[in-house]
Amino acid sequence: MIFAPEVEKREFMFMGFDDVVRRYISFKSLDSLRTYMADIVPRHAYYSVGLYKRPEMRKMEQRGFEGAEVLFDIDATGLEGCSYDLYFCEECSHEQQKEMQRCPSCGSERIKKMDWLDEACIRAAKAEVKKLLKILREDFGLGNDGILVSYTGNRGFHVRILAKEFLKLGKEERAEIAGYISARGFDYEVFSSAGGYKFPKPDEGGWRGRFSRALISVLRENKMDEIARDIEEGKTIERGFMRKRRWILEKAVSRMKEEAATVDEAVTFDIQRLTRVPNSLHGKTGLRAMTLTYDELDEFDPFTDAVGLSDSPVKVRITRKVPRFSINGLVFGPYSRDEVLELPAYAAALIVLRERGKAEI
Amino acid sequence: MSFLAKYPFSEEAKKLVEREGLSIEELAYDPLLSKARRMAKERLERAVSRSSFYQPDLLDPASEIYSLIIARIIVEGSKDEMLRNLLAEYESKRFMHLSKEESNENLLRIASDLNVKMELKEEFRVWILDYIRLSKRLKDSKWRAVNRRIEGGYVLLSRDEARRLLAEAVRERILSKIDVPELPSPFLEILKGLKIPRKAVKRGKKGLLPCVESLLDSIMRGENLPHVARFALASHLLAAGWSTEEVLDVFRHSPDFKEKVARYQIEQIAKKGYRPPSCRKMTSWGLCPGECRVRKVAKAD
Repeated sequence: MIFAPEVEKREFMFMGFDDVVRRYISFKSLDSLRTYMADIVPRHAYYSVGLYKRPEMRKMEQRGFEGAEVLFDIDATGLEGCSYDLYFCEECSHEQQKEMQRCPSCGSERIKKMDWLDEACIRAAKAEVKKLLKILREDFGLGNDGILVSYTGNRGFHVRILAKEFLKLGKEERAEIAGYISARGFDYEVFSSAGGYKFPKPDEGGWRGRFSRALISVLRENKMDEIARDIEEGKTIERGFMRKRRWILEKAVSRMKEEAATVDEAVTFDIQRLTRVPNSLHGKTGLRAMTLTYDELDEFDPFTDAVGLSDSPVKVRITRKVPRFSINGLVFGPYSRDEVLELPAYAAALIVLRERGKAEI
Repeated sequence: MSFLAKYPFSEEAKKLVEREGLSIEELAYDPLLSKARRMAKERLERAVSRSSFYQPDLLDPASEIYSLIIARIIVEGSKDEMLRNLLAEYESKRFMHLSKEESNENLLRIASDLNVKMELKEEFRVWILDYIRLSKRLKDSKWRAVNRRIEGGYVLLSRDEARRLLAEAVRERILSKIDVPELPSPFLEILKGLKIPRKAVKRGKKGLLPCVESLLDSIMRGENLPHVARFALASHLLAAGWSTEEVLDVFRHSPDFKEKVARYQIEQIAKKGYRPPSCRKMTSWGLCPGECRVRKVAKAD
């Protein structure tokens, strides 16, 4: 069932299969939202992170802004193990799996990068969500009940903070929080003084503690146990010693940053953002956007848990290479161009919505 | 009572005078308040000329409190953002000065008055959201939350750092808007007498990155920019062909402007030919919330 907390305070936007955008819509109740969506069957359904007195007004000044949830957007694209899998020339339809800037067949630079959705991407994105939740818990003191995690229906997750104190934050504060999550601005020179480096102790909280633990492990790996012990005991390390071994500090920073979460900072900053309505279907996958509890996240597999369409057969003509994939417990593909197949609707939809095939009627 | 004279911005102080429920006319014309009006004038003059503060009259908190109220009314009525920032800078510095010897207990009392969640266990600690809000003008590395000691949602601070954050909370309070009707003529007189150090900047903003442009707008409103922001702004303006004098005129709007220091720094940047920081750098310094090159953040999913 479609769900939106505080539905009456949000702005909604719908994109139909006709590509018409309907904006500045508000609903008095969940029921009316559900009826509306059942009527128009949108391809994409979005709602605002912002809460307003009059969400349907077009001008921001007239809406009566009450606050906005802090939203983190975690997208698997670009994460390790999840990248583009197909490059397609829009001029001559040449396609290849290797990256290309220019089409080797016709020389055009109109290259479309295409991605698929697979377990590796979901796994990578989930790992980022967990890192984010850990930081929110340890450093911001937020329990799981103040946080809502949802699967976007495509290659990522949304994490939003519902706690009241966060609603009123301004843009600058949001940017600062997003930066904090990714350890941006961390600077080990703040530990140095004329006397030498006084590094944080490993049991400290925040990024200082994470850095300390990373530094100690790098030192141990490089057989500098004594220095590691000095740091554990809070002793000052001689300046010259560290200066000559900057690489150790740099390595410790990059190890520390493995604990940072990759979030799209422009999203967190934007209090006027619109995001996908939980439990609506994603128009690029046919999968369901879903709200998850912390415990569900571990086990969650969109290819079984978020399948949003039926298994009634649909005929599809493949237009671009489709990798092997599994959904709803069945394995499909790989398929190559011009194959015509009859597939369950959920599998056909994935292929069609990712622009790798066309439905044959 | 001396507490209220030292911290006239506090809610406690406001309560003391609220009982009287004076109208703006009474504040402007009541002969009993002539001392407060004189002090308000002096407050604003010192703020505008960026000079040091006078010692508060600890035996007469009411005048001290009324003078701040009058000064804020004049600022609000002037609709002058630069004047507002100058007064906020002045009050925040004044707080730093007067709180030096203050008891820890009173510091916590001020914190709670300013709605800052601050505690004293073995050390001072402040709730992370308050910290992030209050430290946003202090962009030096050591103030960034990533470089701070943090425990379960609280940032640990030394006593001096705690005072510095409270000074920012004072700034925030003075910057906040109040409802003010038309200024009565005695207040307009005071306003007219102020020599606000404003310089027209003739050069257009053409060719500047949106991020730099927004730094320029902030400083022209008299906002107090952190050091890195000043460096970024000065080096970008110089690179865009502005002269040292033109850049100096921009910095005159800064609430803590000191001509000798500013001139020296700008000349150094020009002489040594420092490359202006890239978008990437400026973003990592937290200077460009959102995007550095793009004017408006597109929204989509």
